[in-house]
Amino acid sequence: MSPRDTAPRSGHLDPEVIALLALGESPGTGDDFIGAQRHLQSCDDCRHEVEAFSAVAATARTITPDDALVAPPASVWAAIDSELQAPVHTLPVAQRSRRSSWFSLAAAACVGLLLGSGAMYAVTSSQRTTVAPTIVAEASLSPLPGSQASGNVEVVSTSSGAQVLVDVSGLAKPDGFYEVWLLDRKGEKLIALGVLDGTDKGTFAMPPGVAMSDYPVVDVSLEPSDGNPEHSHHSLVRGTLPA
Amino acid sequence: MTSPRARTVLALSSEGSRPDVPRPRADIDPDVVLLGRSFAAGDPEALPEAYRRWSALVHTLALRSTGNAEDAADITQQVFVAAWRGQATFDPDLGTLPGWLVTITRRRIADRWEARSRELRAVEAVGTADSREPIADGHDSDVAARVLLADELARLGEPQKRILELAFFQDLTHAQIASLLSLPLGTVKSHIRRSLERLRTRLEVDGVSA
Repeated sequence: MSPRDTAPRSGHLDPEVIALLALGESPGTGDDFIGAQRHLQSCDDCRHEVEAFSAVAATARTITPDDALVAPPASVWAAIDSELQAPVHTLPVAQRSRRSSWFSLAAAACVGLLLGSGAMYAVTSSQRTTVAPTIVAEASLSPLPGSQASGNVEVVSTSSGAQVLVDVSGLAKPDGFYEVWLLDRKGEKLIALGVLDGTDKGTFAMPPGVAMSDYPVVDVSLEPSDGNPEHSHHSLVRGTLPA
Repeated sequence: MTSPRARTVLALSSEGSRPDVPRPRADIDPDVVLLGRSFAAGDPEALPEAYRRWSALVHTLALRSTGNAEDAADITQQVFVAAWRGQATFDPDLGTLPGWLVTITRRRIADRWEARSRELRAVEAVGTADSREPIADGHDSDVAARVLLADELARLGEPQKRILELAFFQDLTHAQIASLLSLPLGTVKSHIRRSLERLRTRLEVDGVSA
């Protein structure tokens, strides 16, 4: 880094003199200025400082009104938000990066695997019923920015009502617990389904009278054990069940 | 990111007070350093905040370099998505977040120029080799420097902003400025020095010379 202390440097030009010289001014009258010029001839440090500030001033002098900042249209943030939040498989093909294609392949493979285990899961949990559960809807759970987790959610219809099966991988051991929520599309209304078993699985009864189409978004959040029943706003994965 | 994230913001501010972490430079706004750290750590609140602060800068660089509003919007989107997805590759101890964003922006702009000249070459496939348009690197860094300086100038308070404008654009001496604004000579000199340093830091830190 350049020697640019705000304190005057002994044996060197005063920083204010350097600034004025850089603007092409003479810092004082008569002897002062001659003294400064003489110093510059023998001092590389000060000369370098004057040159660096002169370059800044020269560029600044070429600024035109065209260089004023122009905010991007509001649609840009909306596009970023949806590109990062949307489940990967709904990304428009044109926007897919190499990584997200890879990711969607992996996610698809994951869904396949989980479908198998999820189905088994459903069967085990409904052994006592005579009607085999059927998968009503399923969605992948995609990581929100900052999260490495992903997973899958299925809604199965059983003789005792609809159940929501959540399976997530990649969650760390929580400082608190992971809670599963149903959200409406706007993210304004939410229903707490329950706590994830450890870091990966949970089976929850769909509350009676709640329509999946009204609360299609499945969200897993990290909740501190602080007794506050509200959503912590720290969501890790999210997915939207098809209508 | 429509939901508030009060807890993550709290986590963010305690992060920055870790005394053992070296800072890139003492003259950088501590808020910028803090935001860079939370961005690198994947704090979900850091992305909207970074966008709020620097999207106009990224967008203007893209707009001035490509001259095309659609390209500029597109590049802005790509830059922030790429930055967020590549957050692990950003080292807040080696540079600032805006500097990194500017670097990504310039890369995307260069890609855009490259694509354009490829199209041009395809169109003029039988033309001479000289028809290849050089990528406007020099032009690009002049624009970037001007945009950064214009931004920093706009962020200066008063009377600093007025003083520098008089010095730069009206070519007034510090004595003339002092008399015009009825300010003590020493005050004007000190404002000139501090403001010039701010401009220089902005250029050096936000990496137009990269």
